[in-house]
Amino acid sequence: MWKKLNLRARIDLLLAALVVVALSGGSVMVWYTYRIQNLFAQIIDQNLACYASAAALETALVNQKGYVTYYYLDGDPTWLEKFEEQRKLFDEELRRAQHLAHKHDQVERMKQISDLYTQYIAQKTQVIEYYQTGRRAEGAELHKTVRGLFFEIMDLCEKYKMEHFEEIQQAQAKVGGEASRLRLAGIGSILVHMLIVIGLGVFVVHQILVPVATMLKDAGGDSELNPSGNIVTALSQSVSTLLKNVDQAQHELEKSRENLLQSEKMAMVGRLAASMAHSIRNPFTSVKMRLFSLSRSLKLDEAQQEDFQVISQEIRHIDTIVQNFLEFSRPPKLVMQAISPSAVVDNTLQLLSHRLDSYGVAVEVKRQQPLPEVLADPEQLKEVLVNLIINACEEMKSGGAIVITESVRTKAGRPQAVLHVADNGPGVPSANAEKIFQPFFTTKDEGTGLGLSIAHRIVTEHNGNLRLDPTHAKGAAFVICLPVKENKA
Amino acid sequence: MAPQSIILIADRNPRIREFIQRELKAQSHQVIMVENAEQLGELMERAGRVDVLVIDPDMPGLNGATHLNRVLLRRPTLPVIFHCLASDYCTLATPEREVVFVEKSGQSVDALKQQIWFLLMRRQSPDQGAVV
Repeated sequence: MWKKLNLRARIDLLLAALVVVALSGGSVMVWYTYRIQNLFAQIIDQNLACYASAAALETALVNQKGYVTYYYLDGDPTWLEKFEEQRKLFDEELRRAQHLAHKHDQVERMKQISDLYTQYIAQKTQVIEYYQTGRRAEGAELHKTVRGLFFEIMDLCEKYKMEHFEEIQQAQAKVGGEASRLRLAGIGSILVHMLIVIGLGVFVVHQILVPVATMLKDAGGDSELNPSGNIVTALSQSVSTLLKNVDQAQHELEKSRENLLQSEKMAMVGRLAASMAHSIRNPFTSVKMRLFSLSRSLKLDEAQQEDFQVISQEIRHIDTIVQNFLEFSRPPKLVMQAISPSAVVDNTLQLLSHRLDSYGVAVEVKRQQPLPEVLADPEQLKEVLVNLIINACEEMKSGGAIVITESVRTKAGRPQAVLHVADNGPGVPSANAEKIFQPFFTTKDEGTGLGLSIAHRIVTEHNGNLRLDPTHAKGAAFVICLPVKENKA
Repeated sequence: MAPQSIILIADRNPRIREFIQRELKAQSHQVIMVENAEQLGELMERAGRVDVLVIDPDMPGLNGATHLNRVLLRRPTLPVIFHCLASDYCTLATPEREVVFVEKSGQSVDALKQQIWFLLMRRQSPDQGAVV
């Protein structure tokens, strides 16, 4: 049954039980208060009044004593008047006591007192009459008998008073008993309260706080979130952070999806463009072949010769653009081998020696010792250096100097072979520094904008990096970093 | 060298085929031309002499190096010259068959003629050295 209830129902049930116990405990207390108040009222209104009445009755009886004897001794009628006053007082007290008597035995007791007193008064009147008529001896004799009745009434009054005293004691004991029960009920109520509170506490800990703490831990929440240690606040913060992260993740996912779609579109466009470029090259080659054939047989004047050369150059330029584009869109597969970048530098400079001469550019290689071997495709690495050197040559229109500095450095605990290629040309404007590796970005009239982009991609494919050296003051400088081949033991 | 060497030109571009044919005929070679993989396959199956195959593997109906090797299966000793773009050579060359590569360009016809001559010479006297 308990297990079938959900969390909300369980908490409601426990809280309802707590309220019921609190209300019932309070009600019992109120009820007992009234009950004890009634008991006290009963003691005060009845027992105490009866007790006081009995005491007054006894006192009124005692006060009658002696007056007739005094009259017997000096014959002064004043004593009889005082006796009569006291007798009336006793009669009043007797009536009041009879009125207060509420139990059967009390009524019987009062009847006994009343009967005896009637008898006592009758005989006492007879004694007075004997004394008034001078029959003193008969009066004294009867007076002795009357004295016996007096003490008998006195005893009854005393008993009656003590009975009320005992009733008061009984009521007191009853109040004490009720108070004990009230205390027990109070203690019981407290215990039930405690049990329910402990149950509620255990329930809250196991059903709420522990799962909340687990959720907080799973959500990556920790004490840094809320130094005060309020787990619910921490969870709230954590959930809030999670929701923000979810929003961000969703946003990024949407962005990634858009980027992916865009990339797919671009890739498709790239494939189409590459296919088109490849198709263009075929007829272009045919055109070049025919131009070559013409050049072997044509007899041209100077102007025609110039026109022919321009046509040939422009066709070659278009072919270079298409070739670069093809290389960029369909990069050749790297054929890796262990090779020192120093050897690639030497091969490249040998390959470019004629072109360097034609540009009027001198190249200096600063090398302490050949660089350690790296895993690289020598042809691709050579292309990187050719691109950088030809770029530098084209920038330095009226000749200049290129310095290639070779060094080894350590980055993140791994050695790298570093080639620093610097020229003393105009350099790269800061506005273009971030764009020069982007495809199709060029500042040259006949540039394709793909040379540096291809070089950057080749170096990246070698797990290295190619960057512009911002610290080089005069001219442009590029840094190629390649990871040194690990020697496996 | 035989007076009438038979050179097979396989190229999708008729202008290039005709240009190479013209250049080779000027050197007294007999030239056969095909324009796609199907024609090439039929010619390879047919009995008849072919001394050198000049092929641009970027041609209709030819699907990769394996397909080319299958087409050339009947002629295991036929010298093959790849007259094509460097990217196509990288894609289609396989170690299963030895081929000579001449990068197709405006002036490549001279290099092509030179390689044909070299292969014909080697075919006549096999001890004259390895193919480049």
